[in-house]
Amino acid sequence: MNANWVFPETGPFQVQGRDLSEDNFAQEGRSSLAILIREVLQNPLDARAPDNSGPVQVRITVMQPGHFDTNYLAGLVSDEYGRRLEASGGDPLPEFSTTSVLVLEDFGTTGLQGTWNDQNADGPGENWNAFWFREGEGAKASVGSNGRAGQGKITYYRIGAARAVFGFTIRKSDGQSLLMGRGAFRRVYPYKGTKYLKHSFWCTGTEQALPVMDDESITVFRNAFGLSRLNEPGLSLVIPFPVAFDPKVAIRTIITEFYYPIASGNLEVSIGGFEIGASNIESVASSVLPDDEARQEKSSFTKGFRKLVRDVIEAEKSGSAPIQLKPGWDRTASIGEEYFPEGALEQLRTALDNEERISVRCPVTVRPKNGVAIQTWFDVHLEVPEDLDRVEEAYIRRDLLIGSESYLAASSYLQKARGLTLIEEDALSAFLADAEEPTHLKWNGSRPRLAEMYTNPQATLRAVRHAAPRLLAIISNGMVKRDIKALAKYFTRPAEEGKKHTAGGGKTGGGDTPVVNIPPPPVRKPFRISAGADRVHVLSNGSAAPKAEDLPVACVLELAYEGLDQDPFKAYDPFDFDLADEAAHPVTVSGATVTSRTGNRIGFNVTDPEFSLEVPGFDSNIRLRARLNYTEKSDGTSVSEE
Amino acid sequence: MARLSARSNPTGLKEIDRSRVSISVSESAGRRTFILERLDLKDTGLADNLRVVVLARAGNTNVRHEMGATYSLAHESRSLDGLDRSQPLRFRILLHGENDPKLIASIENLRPRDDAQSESLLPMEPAELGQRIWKLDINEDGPVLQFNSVVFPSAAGAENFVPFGALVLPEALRQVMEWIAGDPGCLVDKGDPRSSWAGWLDAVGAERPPEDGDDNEAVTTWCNQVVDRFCGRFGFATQLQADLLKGAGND
Repeated sequence: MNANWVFPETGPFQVQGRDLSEDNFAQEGRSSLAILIREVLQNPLDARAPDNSGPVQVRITVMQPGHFDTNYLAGLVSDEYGRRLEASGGDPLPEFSTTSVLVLEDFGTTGLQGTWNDQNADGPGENWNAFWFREGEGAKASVGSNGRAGQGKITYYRIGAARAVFGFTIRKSDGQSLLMGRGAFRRVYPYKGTKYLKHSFWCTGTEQALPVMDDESITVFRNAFGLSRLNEPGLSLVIPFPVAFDPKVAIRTIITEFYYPIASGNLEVSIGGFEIGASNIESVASSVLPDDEARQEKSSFTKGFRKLVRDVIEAEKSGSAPIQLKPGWDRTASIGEEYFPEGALEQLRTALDNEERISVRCPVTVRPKNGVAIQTWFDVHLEVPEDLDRVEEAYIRRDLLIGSESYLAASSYLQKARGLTLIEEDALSAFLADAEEPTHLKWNGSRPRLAEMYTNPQATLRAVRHAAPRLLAIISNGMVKRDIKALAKYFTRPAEEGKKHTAGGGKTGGGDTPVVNIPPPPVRKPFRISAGADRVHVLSNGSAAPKAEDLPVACVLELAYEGLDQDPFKAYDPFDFDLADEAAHPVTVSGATVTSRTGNRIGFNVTDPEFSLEVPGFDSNIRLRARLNYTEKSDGTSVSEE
Repeated sequence: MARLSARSNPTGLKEIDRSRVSISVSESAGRRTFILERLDLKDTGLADNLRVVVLARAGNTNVRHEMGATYSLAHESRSLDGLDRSQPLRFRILLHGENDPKLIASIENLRPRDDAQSESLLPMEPAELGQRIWKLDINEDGPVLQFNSVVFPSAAGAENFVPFGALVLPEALRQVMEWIAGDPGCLVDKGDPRSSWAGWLDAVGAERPPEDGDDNEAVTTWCNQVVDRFCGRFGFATQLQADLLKGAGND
């Protein structure tokens, strides 16, 4: 049976408006792409197949024009879909011939299991319904899985200009192959005199949304987007028109957020054909995340911290047991010496003084309201290198970094240290998952879900959060150590005399690792821009000009006055100038066709290798910035390298 | 998708190399400040009486400070209050003529030097000091500021306690300056641990010690001048007042 778009109308007793869950993922300081990458890797980790003892594999591919079936995509994302998208406040669909498709595939996972022919079926394991038909609740409640707020999937819709996702799954449970699609517009919208719901479905069925199941249609879909999946269980997602997908940012996010699961062998990621796994994660990290950039990104994952993480993984694999605190250590704000086994405190102090890593297991109690109290635990790993110039810390629950939790850094009375708090036990992980904000970046002891399910959740959360600083306080008390960086902000030693330190450098850093150069070498560009006092001229770049067989090339020229501080293109105001005003900006063009003029943008197609486009009419007292976006058939220098 | 970009320069604005500037940022009691330590315009062909403006920005927030003329730059710390702390901090320096707003030159996209990554001329160490809170220990390697290990669990604990900085550091500095003034030639003797302080004195805009180290009155005057500059640069009285008011607000 052929699939079609179904756009449900609004009905009586239905609340209308815009999607609020999306706001939870609009994090200042984190790009849509970084948030998407978290979801893309977290969900497969949650969906690990029970018989998979190896890594979960995730493939991320941006299919460029010419590498997927544009006609098939045009059939999927129809003209009517585009008109409805615009009616809901979305941007017009981009030109199909010049845009790309994001493909996300996971392997070693279960796929979307559960009931597929009754969207009202609820409960653990109903992943199909949770993925396609639920908001604000998921189907992952059983064993402390990483995601459970049921809101994360909105990130898939945010990253695509069409706000549409198509998913093909092969299920571990029954081997069934299912294919369906969904659009998630920003709000309820009017269309041809009728109001429609914000969610629409590309599906079969008339009474309810049912998946495509016939092999022929699925094979056509798989071939259209070059999917890797043949018979393996898992999920393949196709997201048309990804906006702002920068592979370098994606790889950096993978390193800063998923270093631990990759280094421990739980996860492998392939991005654009570049494989990242336990064997090469450190060399990739060395290449894409030098310590200076880690600082800029406010990430703790410097070379030295990554070494700490790898040491912890190694120690766990070798069965090395941490020193265990006695229960009750968390009842007071400072840990008493009596909670350490005999001789352990001295042993820990000596190790810390020798700049060695120390590991402590902290017992805590989780108190479910509908059951008996559960004794559980988590581990804290600390080290205090002499040349550490800032606190580096991470809280990792299962494989997920809870990136905004930071309590060592907040304890300014303590010396600078590296701290890793690892939560691996099921009951505590489930408790903390319920405490997480939808983005999984922060715990919140006041979440209603927590109060519904647990007694005194704040005490357990406080114990986990404050264990690292409390341990450091008691262990470091009594250590005699000169601090050569204290007071540096007042009495800075002249740079040429002091040693230059970077976090994780020197003896505490990891060993030398080969550097992987990921980006391809830049090639000479086919066009050039000449900016005069009051005009901009775009023309072919001599011998690098595009060849006739590579034409036409679609281009967009953006212009903006340079202000004092802001990104000029973001700061563009229609009162600055309007390129639609043909009298103020009489464009001279040869060898190209102007396709659009609006605001600060001119779209044009280059049709002749010797082309020229000149736009005059700008204020000669203000600096003008110009940038040209264009799509080449191959070997172009990508936006990310600019 | 590929991209290229360009920029016009209709007013002939001159762009100066970033290596000619040094800006440091420090934080105390939750307040960030910066100091324009160096602006070297030698051999740039620019006049020596240009007005200097520093723009600090983080994300969509920015602050602007007039730093005086190129021949008499202000070296004291300036506030970075109001900037978005979640965004990277960048600086821009603009130069224009006296009574002429037209920009002559600029230095763009400057990153500050982070003093927390530097070593200190006055390291700290915990010590058993009984009922004493601190003590300056000067040995052949230089001065060390000892703090009472019973009171403070770490050097950071003492340093971040505002009254410690405001009350202890000026006096500790005065003792270090007396040690230096006892042998003024030490500042140019590279083998002497005191020579490292010469650059620090220059950065705070202080003069060199009196040539006669036995002239007690001149030495005392010089030491007090250095301490005054140091206190002015870091605004200890303002910091302490803010800290005390914060405590009063909590009652």
